[in-house]
Amino acid sequence: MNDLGPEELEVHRLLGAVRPAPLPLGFRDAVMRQVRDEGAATRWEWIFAAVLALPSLAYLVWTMTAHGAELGASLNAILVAAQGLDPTTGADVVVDGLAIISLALVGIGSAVAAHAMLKGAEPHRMIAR
Amino acid sequence: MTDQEIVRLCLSGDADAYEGLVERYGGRVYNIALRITHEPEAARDCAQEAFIRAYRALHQYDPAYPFGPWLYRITTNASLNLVQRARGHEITVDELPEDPEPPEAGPELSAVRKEDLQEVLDAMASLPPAYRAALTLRHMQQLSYQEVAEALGIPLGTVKTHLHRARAALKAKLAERKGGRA
Repeated sequence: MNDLGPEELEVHRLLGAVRPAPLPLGFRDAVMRQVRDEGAATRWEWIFAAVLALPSLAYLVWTMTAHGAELGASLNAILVAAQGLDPTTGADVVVDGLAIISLALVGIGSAVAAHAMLKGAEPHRMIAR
Repeated sequence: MTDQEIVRLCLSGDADAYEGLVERYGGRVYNIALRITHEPEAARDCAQEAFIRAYRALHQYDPAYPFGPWLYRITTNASLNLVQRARGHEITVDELPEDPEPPEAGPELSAVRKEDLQEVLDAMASLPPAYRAALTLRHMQQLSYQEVAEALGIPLGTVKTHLHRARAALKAKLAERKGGRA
């Protein structure tokens, strides 16, 4: 440290003379235990999220490719009915229960993945200025 | 092995490599937390929390910069947060007088130096946490102004102002204690 000004020398010497406190016994082991647990927990969260979301996503993609036209027609019918342009048009929609469940599972999987990601986020700083 | 190499190993899935960083920085991190919280129990918790938070955020660490100040920043934040949570309200730097009453300069401080250093630590403990953090990083951990700025996440000019006020406040506290004893 070579940017020490003359006005801070005294305090610097004074505080520099304070001997550092020894690290508490078992500190390193405690940290490493948590780090290992942490890694395992996060890994399981990602696996859980993937197991929930990937098959559901695959099903949703398949549904879209196989029945995309029907879905498009249903959405169109709903829009037309909502706008009231054609009173003869019905807004019949066939709801695929499995697709709804898949959507819910993708949502849960995303929440779990978001939690695993947020664990890695840097803490918010709260320094008094 | 450099800090950056250890970080790279950790990011590639070798959690055990992190032990090298805990060993290298454990003492400094604990002492920073201890000087800010002034309680060994709390300092241990803060230091532990700092290492865990750092581990979780390793992917955000930029290896172009030194690892130490980055870790000290996390440690300082964890310690200041704990102090704020524990006491509800602390006097912040803004609430302090611009220039604390200056002590009668050098001789007072020189006399204190010969006394028990515990007196100095006690005087330091009575300062606002932000001052304690700045003094610890600059004078106990021997960081440069730039590194202190990085560790505290504030501009260089603000660090200089903080430290100037912190030193004046510490001198005033020591003079006050000395005066009280006489």
